[in-house]
Amino acid sequence: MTVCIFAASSSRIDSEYVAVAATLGSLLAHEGIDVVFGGGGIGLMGKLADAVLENGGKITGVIPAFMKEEGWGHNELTEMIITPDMSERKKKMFSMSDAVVALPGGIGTLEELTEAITLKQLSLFNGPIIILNTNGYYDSLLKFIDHMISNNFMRFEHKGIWETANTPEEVLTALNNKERGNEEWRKIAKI
Amino acid sequence: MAIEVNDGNFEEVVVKSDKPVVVDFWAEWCGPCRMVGPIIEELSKEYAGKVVVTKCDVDNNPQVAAKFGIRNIPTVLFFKNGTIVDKQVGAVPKNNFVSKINALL
Repeated sequence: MTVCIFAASSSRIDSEYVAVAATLGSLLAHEGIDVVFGGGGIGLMGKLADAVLENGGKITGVIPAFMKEEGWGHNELTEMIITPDMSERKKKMFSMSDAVVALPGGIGTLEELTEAITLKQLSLFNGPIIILNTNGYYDSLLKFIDHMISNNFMRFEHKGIWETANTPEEVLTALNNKERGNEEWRKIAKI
Repeated sequence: MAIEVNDGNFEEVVVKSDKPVVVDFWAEWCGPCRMVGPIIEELSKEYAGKVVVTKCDVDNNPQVAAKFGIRNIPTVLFFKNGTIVDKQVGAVPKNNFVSKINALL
């Protein structure tokens, strides 16, 4: 299994978030789950990659050429794939992955997470999407999505597209879960 | 190309047709509909001249959707002589549609 991880590139965040990224990287490596990520060398991305590598795991970075040239890339990855731009980067990451996990992050992470949800809603990506909601970081986003639903901008059934986890351990449980809940929305949409 | 039917032309194109008619009820936001859409387009070519293959956007045509009690999409209705003779709900393989159409001929 290959899991695509979206996560912060900022290194100014609280140490608790950093510790969670490291724990997740270590758990994925021990579980033998390959990782695809944005290739960053710092922030949660960098910490996750370090943890995967330290624990003998396999991690592939996908980074746009301009970021690589700026020196933002991690230097010791199993493999680094260079893309011409940001859009190709995401396209590549989705095409390589069986599942998506979003850690806390900034606007870039938010954009990647919401693209994953959009693609799945359109049946263009079919894997699990897991939101790691460390310290309730994503609570206000999830509340905003409920606001979309209550105002009919989004279908209630589409809440089944993603799952939330509070800890890295719960992410692993979700990834290993073969029996997903009600997936009827994949075949039929309510109107 | 599947013919687009709407609240305005449904009676004329579907109900009064002298050939069997297939209607694919769909919407742009509906993921499963995107799997059925291309199948419907293929069928419109394969059965050209024998069966009238149509599609109806439920968001833009609430009257037709309500008239036929469409609650889930994709729903494909099969008409013969103006009445519904068969129905397929949900994204299913092409064979399911083919066998239902062949039964109309």
